[in-house]
Amino acid sequence: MSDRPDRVHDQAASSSRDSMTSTPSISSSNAPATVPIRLRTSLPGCSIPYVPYMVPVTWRRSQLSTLVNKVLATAQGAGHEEASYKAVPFDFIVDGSLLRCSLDEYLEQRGQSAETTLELEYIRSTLPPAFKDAARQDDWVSSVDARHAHRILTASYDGIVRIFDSESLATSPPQSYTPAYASNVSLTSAKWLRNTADAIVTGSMSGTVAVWRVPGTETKSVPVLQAAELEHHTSPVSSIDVAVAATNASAERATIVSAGWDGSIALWDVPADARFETQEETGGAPGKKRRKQHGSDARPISSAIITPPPLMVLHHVTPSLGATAARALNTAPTPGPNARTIAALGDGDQRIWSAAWDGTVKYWDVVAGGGLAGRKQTDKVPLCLDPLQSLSLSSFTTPQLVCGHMDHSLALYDFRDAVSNAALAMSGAHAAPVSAVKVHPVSAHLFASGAYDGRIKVWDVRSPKQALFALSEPVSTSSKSSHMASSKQPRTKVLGLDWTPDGNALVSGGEDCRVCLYQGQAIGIEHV
Amino acid sequence: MAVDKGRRPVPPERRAQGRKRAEPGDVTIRETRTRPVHTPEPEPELLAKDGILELEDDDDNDDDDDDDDDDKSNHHDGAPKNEDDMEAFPELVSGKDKDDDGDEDEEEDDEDEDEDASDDEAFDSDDLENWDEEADAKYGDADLSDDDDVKEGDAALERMIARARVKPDESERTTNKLGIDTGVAARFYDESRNDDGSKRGRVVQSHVTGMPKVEYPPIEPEYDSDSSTEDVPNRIGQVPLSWYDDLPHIGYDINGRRVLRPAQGDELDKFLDSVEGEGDGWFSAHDKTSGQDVKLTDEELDIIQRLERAQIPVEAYDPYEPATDWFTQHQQTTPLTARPEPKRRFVPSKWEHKKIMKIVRAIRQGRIVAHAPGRERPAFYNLWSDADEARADHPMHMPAPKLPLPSHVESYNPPAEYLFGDDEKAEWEAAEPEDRKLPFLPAKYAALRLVPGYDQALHERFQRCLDLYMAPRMRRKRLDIDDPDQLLPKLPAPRDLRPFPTHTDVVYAHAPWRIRTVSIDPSGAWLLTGPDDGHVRLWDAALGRCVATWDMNAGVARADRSPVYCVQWCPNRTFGIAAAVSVGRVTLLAPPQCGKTMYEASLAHLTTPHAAEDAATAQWTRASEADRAAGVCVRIDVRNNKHASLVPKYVRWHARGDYFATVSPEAAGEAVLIHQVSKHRSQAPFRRTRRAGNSAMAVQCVCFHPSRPWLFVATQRYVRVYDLVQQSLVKTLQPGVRWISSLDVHPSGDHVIIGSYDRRVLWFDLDLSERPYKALRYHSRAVRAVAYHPRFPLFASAADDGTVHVYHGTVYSDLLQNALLVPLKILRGHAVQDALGVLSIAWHPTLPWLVSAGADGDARLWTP
Repeated sequence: MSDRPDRVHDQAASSSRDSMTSTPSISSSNAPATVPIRLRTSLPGCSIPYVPYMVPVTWRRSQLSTLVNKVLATAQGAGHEEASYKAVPFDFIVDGSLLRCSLDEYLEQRGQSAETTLELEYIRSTLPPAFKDAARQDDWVSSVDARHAHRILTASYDGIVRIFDSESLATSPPQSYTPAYASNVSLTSAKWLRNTADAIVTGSMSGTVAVWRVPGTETKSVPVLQAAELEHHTSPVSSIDVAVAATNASAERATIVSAGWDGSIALWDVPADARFETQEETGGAPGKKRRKQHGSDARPISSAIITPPPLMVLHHVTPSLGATAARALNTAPTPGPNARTIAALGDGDQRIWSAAWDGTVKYWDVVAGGGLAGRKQTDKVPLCLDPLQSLSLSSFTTPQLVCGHMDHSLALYDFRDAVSNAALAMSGAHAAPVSAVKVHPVSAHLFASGAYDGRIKVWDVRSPKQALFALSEPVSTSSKSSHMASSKQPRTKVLGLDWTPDGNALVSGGEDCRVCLYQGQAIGIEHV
Repeated sequence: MAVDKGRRPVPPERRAQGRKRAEPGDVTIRETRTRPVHTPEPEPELLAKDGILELEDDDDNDDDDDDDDDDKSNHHDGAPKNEDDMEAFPELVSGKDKDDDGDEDEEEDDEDEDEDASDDEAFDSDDLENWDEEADAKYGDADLSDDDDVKEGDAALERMIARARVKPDESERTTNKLGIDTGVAARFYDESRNDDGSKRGRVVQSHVTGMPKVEYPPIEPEYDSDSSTEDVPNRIGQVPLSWYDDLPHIGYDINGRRVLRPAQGDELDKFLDSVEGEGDGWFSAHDKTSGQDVKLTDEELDIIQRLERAQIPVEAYDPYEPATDWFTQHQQTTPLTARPEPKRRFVPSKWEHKKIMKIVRAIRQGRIVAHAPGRERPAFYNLWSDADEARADHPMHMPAPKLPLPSHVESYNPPAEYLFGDDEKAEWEAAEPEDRKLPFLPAKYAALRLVPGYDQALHERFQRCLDLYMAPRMRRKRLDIDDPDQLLPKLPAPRDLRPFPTHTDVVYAHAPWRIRTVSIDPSGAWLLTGPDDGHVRLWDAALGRCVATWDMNAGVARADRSPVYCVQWCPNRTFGIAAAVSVGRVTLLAPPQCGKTMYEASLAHLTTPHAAEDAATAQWTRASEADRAAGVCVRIDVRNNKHASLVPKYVRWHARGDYFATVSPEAAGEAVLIHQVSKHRSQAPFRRTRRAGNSAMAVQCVCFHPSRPWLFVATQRYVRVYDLVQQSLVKTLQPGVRWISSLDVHPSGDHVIIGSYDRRVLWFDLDLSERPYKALRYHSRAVRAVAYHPRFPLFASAADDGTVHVYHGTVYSDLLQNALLVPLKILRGHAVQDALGVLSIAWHPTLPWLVSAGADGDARLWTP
């Protein structure tokens, strides 16, 4: 590859090329000053020789992208004809932030001279997802699940689960379901149990984790919503995460992790289709079953559901007075201080990540029986977390975690490093507490974050100092009034955030009672 | 003379003559003093005795003459009758012959002079007997004679001069200084001398000028002079002797008369003298100064001969006398003196060292420079410079304050506007001198020479001197402050004291109701606010979502609705219980949102089987089941017999969570009620209040001590600490403020902060004093609430200026170390509505978060 001549500047300085030199002699007498740069990337198949290039300081991202494309096209042109190469726009990351200006402006900002060699890393440039559609609902959106491509699941504080059609978000009304137990209880989170989008797990402020089925896409009318309540939490459930382990096609099992405000984390194993054994079938101990159909309080006793106990219960924050001790003392159990915990599953169902308000971030090994595998201690109050997506190439996940905090910061915890607390602390990432963070399903580098000020930002871990882009508030005729309202009430918190499975669209919901869909193209695609 | 006076009074005009007539006595005395050995001291006595013993001596003298030889006769010939008697015995006193001869010569000279000077007064001692008659007759004749007028005038003049020369009272004085009659008293000197021993002069007529002059007796070198070793007086002056070669005299005597050269024989006479003479021509020398031949004595000849032989002139001197070696280099075994060696022999002199070191220091400091050029003296004297003012050389010298310079009004020709008008002049004259602005009247003169003297000049100088003298001046040391920041106390930077809340993250909107109270539950997740609409609201603290609402005014008539005055969570983490006060009752809430087990435990805690009903103080009412399901468990109606309903406005929990106290400021006797949750009982610990209805005694707020059974009761001006177990007053804090608004006790229990409506926040150290340790005056309006953080060393104050101030307050377990108070942050964000700002604050129990409730309808969560 090094013996290939760099025909980069065929527009500017077409001829005059030496074979091996890495410094293109573009400088004529009136040419501007040049700066040496070196380009590298982590994109597969997009590497160019890691040698210094002398480029004019007036160049911007587009010229640099053209440069890389020319080099890549020349490389491909060695084998094929040059027309077969399709130009890819690139973004350039210098010193942890995207290059948004020309090189000399960057050098002037940093106070560097044009003689130092700039190390540039280029990534695929993607357009920011554009606001596509929004749907209104009655109350705050507490969580959003978009793992099914067309059915967007939202939980709301009015206790209703709504399923939106992503194709016609604004036009078609959502399907609204109220679980039987949650007549007066706010739901804090709702997740699809599996990708087929017919079973739901919800967590509520009353501490109930329930698994129930909803009508699928094909059958839109299921009269009975039978919920299996998973009894463990006595305090509000703050987060729920689901992973599906495909042991075999017939009996798919889903693993649920739920974290409560009392510092305990429960792990459940439920059938992925939410078809529990009923009491009639087994004839065992009486379980709880309730059924409800939109306010009617009918109680068919015939079908009692046997709910499984939690697989394991982890105490992220040790309670001050445990359950057994409280029973012995004839008092109520007391959670530990700052016990509000959030948890997520990682690497399938192999690991559990958890963080609590006392500043500890832990990860647990499920396979090893729930042993504590790593622990970090900070002084921040985490509000949301999500493990980084594993690289498709490697078989093991990198034990990395993105966490959003109350003090407006994001942090990247790397548990391979036992010394430092936060591998990457992005302080001041937002102007408000970061309430939602979601890792891109495809890319190992991208994640999105939403904050209490309503702003959503998409980040690349390679440029931690600056977000790739911030999603702009939709300015349309329909949302004009709401925008005006939001200007009066500037803080509409983003509470739920999720990527669609292909990673091209971002769904958000929050205090503004709206479910917004931001549609992008080719986000997070690594290959060229 | 006294004898003379006693014998015969002398007319005054003849006094001088009388004194002159005493001259012969003087002569006789002089003759007596030619006697060989006598001391002058006993002479007056002897003289006095002479006057008495004289008659006898005369007889003795006659006898002595017969006896021919007696020493006494030598003494008593001092009063000789004639000189012939003395000359009759020249050989008797051989050793005095020469002296007598010399004296006689001189006396003869004196007498010659006297004769020369005054012919008419040439007296002899022989004339002494019949002097009186002759003189009288003679002067009587002279008086009568006409042709002697000129002489008579001269004589009168002489008498006048002579009278002037003599002390006027000398003759009249009959007693001396000791009061003894001079005639009787012993005299030190004789008549020829004054009392001080000096000789009396005579008035003679100068033969040069013809005028009378005073002539003193010549000084005899050997007796009149103190120095007997005086040389022969030089009579020729400082001139060569050869100048007198052609003159008949050689030099002058003391009276200016020429000393005639003695007769010189010619060379033949000399030769004849040497040949035929007595043979002493060989032994005589010629004295050029006197022109005489002096016969050398044998001793002189011997000296000459010895000199000729080159010998030592003195015969008695032995040059070969054996030498006695008094001071040798040899160490004697027995030294001459056993005195120890004095210290100064071997110790260097201290004062010499000091002097040298002074010079050395001056050289080192550069005050003494070798070969330095001298100071240049200015060629001209600067008349107007201040440099010549007297300056003390010490550094504390304080110059006198300067007078103001004269202005136009003090000009002799001032501009017309400075001149006084009539009314001004009248006013100036009517005013006291101290009250006048000007000490003088401005006046205008045509020319400087017409300006009269200033009559107040001396007075003003005197006043100035009085000012300088009587007004104390002191040197005031100015603080030389380079950096004013150095005066500030050394406080740690706020960034080193993190974490503390800095900005708003969550806003809990209640608009348009103003929020009076706010409280965070002990787990830190829930927030209760009490707005003015009477509904207590429960919020998810981190999310900012209102989860539940309870109407505190349920069942109350619309006119009686009241805002929620105060809400506080029970600090026991086992339960989720809050107490809210409104419309004269206390409502105990157990929100079911806090969790199932906690709700059930709280519900069980609030439902005790034995509910002691104390209807006299307060009535506990169990809420209905529907209310209990919603979270309202117990209502306590605070009533008593006299008042239909007391209005409690403040509630405060004990740290354990079983007791809480309510305050009804309007109630006099039962202002403070303490309620026990576990027994459903209320009691009034301060039932007996002396002055009911006094607003100054109205209880503002109360607070429990975290560990001791103490209750802090804040009235309008004082905070009293009561021991509830002992039923006694522990201490009284004296904040010195007008109106206490809020109070909080440090979690350690040793410190108290007090907020007051006069804008102050006071920190008390209970172990230190009953006075505030620090007064923090940072708020510009009334302070509404103060609060300590339960865990972090933070405290905050909220005020009507819409700000919340966050302070760092570290307390030390060491009693010797005072608390460290650092203002950290001013939290701005609340709007001021109706002159009300932030009404309440609450700290998060475990995190450095602060919730503030504002009158603008927003409660805000402040986080780091």
